[in-house]
Amino acid sequence: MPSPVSGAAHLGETELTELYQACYLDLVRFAVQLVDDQATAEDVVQDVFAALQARHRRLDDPVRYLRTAVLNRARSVLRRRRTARLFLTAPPFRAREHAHAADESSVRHDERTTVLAAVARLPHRQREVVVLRYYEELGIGEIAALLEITSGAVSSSLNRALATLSTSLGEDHV
Amino acid sequence: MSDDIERALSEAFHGRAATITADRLRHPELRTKRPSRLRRSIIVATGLAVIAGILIAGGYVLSGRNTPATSTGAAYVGSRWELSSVQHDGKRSPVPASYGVDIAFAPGGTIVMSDSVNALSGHYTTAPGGFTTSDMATTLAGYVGTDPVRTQIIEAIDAITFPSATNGTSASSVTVDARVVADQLIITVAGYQLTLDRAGPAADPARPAPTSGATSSTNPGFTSASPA
Repeated sequence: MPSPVSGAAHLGETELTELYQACYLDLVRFAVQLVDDQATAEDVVQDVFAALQARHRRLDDPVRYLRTAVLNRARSVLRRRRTARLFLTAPPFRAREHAHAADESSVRHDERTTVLAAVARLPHRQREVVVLRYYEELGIGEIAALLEITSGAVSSSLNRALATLSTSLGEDHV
Repeated sequence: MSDDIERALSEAFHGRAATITADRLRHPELRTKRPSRLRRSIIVATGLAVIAGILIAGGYVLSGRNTPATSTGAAYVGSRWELSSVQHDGKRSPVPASYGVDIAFAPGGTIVMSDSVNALSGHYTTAPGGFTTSDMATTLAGYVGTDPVRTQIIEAIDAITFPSATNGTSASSVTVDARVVADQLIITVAGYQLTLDRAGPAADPARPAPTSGATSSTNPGFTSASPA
């Protein structure tokens, strides 16, 4: 992700607009890995910028702040979604994925859908670690700093996630 | 197997990300900030106060009181005064001019005030060491903010306007201490000290022309908020 605002910065309207234009697409792409659909991902990122706009807070590392804020907002969305799912007969995003997959003829797309569905079934923490490691391509130490947990906890979560994915994807013949 | 999964994860994530392009974004521009609920409330209240002020200046007479007031001899009479500071519990707080808090003593005996949220008007008469207000009426906008200075102003103006059990007034009028020092009016009421700067003359509100055979001497304010 580009870093348009370097160093400590008081965000005025101009700087905020520049930050938005530089980071919005990348943040939506990041958020969609956590919440599965683009509309929700955009809402998450919009909420983050709205909060930033309201506070005009000082930021030492805007990109890192935004990434963390998106993670936190996405986590809240997933919590609400999990609660809502308790009252639904079918998980809404799984249903969409299957419907979407049925329309695709590409085997590659089917594989991607299967992998993403398996990732979506991971516990939140493991999912975050997997996304940060294999999408954002961050190191263990960077992930630990971002999530404010120890490197050992990151490694542990990552190993458990890969073991789970290995089992589920193996069963799905991927 | 682990390498396969790692590669599959990376391909899946980046493949999904690639499907989101700039032209498919719903909100490519940053949404502008809406004013907060508090700010909107203040804007509405200020608007109401301005409208009330226009009504007063236009000479709308909505109260039927026949209580002519005369106010002569006091240095504050005939001037409009803008609040510059409020003191309460030994602490003095400056009042920004943008709050628009003022008191005008028209020579004809009309007092018109703004406490930054509501506009108030009625009669005043000079009294030894101060003045007495009566027949006061006010707009009824509510203040939902938490600005302590604004809250103090509203309480102090209320104390000038409406009788209470604590200020030792009669049931229908309020007497407050007031003195003029140079170009400043200092009002002391209910534990508050208001310091106001002279801002210009206070004209009598326009009155409607009396109908033939009748005399008109009514409160040039507006609908009274308190029972007569």
